[in-house]
Amino acid sequence: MHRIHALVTLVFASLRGRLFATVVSILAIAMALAVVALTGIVSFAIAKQAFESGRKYPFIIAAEGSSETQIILSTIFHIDKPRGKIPFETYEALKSDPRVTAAFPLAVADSVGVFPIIGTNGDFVKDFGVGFRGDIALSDPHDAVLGATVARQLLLDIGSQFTGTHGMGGSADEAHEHANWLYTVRGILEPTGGPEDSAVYVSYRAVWEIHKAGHHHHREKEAHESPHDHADHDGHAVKPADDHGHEAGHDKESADHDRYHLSEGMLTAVLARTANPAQIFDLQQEYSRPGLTAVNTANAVRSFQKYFNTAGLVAAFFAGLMLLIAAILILAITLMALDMRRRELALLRILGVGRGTIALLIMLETLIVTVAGILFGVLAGHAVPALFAETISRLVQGARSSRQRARGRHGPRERRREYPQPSR
Amino acid sequence: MQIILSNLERTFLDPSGNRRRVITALSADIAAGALVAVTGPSGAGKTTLFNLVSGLLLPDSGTITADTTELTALSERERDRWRAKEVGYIFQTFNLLSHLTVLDNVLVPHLLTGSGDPAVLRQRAEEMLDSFGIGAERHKYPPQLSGGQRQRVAVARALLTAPRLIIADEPTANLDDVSARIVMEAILALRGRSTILIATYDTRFGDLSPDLTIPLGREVRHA
Repeated sequence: MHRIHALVTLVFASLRGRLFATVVSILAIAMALAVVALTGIVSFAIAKQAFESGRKYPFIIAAEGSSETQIILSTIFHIDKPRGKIPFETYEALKSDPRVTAAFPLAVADSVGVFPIIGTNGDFVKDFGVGFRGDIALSDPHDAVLGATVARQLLLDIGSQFTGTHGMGGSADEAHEHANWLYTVRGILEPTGGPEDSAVYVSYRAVWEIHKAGHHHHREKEAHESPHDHADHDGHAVKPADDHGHEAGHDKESADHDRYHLSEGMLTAVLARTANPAQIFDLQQEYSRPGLTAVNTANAVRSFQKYFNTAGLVAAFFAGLMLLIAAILILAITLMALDMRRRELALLRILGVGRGTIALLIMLETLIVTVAGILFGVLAGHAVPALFAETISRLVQGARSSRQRARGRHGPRERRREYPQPSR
Repeated sequence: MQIILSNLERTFLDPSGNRRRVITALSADIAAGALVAVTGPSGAGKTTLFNLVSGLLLPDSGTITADTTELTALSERERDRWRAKEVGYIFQTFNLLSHLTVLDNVLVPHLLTGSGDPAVLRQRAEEMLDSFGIGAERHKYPPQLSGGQRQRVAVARALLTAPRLIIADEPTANLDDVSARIVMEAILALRGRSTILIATYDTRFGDLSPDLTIPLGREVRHA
């Protein structure tokens, strides 16, 4: 007992005596591990979500002109915006299809701060299987259910009221507040670590009501300052059915804006499940028709899974490299320290301290440094995503609006990938 | 502790690769409690002899027997234990662990080797530091002390368990008078109880009148 105490005294005294080397070693391990942990956490989370989305919503229908990746990103991860509208009948047809076990409508047009407002129904929210406080039935068009992050960051609780902003995430040229439509928070979801945390769920009927009734009344922040915006809105409001003869650029911009004005009877996507996975292929064939894009989620996820795998490999390589560098650094520091400590260790030997005890001493020192490094590293690996969640989500928002501007220049069409039928 | 050196030989490889005899045919019978002066010019092998007698080194040939224990027949581990229990080693330079406090410097090596009851050792360490005039510095670190104070700490560490063999390798060289006196008196106070091997050129204390002188490089001369 006293020997252990003496050993520990000596170990800590020695670490303190070489404070700089100790701190550098701990930092080196911590940084390497933080990168490894971060890589692991992020790629695991993405892979898990992608995999689960394929299982949970194996079939998605959205508007024509969207790539499958865009559709999955916007409907499941809420990080890309919807590219167009589809008729509500698509949802009704799927819902009444005997092969379909569950179908959920999505109408996404507005946001609260950086968080998208997902117009859907209570069944969809219940389908998450996530714990919640309050009521998540979305029975009234003014009801809203918040993801955990939304509630925390916007300081909203059950009973709080808020308004939505038109468009996605504060691109100023499009945003205007739906000031006359108050949502009341009815339910708050427990944190999931998934996209649900950062979304607001309301009834799709609310989205229709707002864009039908509210459009002429809501405060348009910049509409009257910018003649361009004004013209745009006018173009939308009185848009005739045969509005195809316009100059192409204007038409595109107009369509871009129009996309968010979900009139009654329009959705942005439908998510569905079938009893038998093979039926997805039939459904995909049936619904691949003008105006619609039908996505077999599992297939699409598999295709970008490949990308994640490659990215994961690259990340793992760099993580491994970091660990190697940390290991070399620690070895170098330990050896340097040993050289400097030759006298000290020789002294201990003369005083009758055995080689085994001295080896134990050095191992203990290394162990303490390593464990401290691992501890800090894992903590940092977990803390970084938590600390910078807001920054990351802001970056995602920035990417959204810049991609949107880029799309305005280059045109929205992206080739949809065709997947071969499975050979099962 | 009676120590019998029998026909010791020890050679070293010098940097140019030649084998150099440092200890040649050394035999001596050191009675228990004797004061032994080890003399000889620098490089004559005094430190080598001390390292042999303390079991740090093994001779190329010959035997060392301490009481009934044949040191040269023991394993390294056994010699380590024997040294920790029986030998107090005082060096010319003040070999302290600079990141341990004065008190820990005196105590920790003994606690590490498990030689004695910790409470008793601690009490004795404090008493020794007091009697050496450095009790007030017990919580300071070696770099905060003067050379003389540091050597007093080293002597306290060596003598803490009243070892039966004391090896002192020029213990008072470079020390101020006060420190040198304290150190030398502490060592000589154990004469008769502990066997003391000392190498010193210090003339400040007159003739030590050793019981035995081992002049290295020459024959052993009994008093």
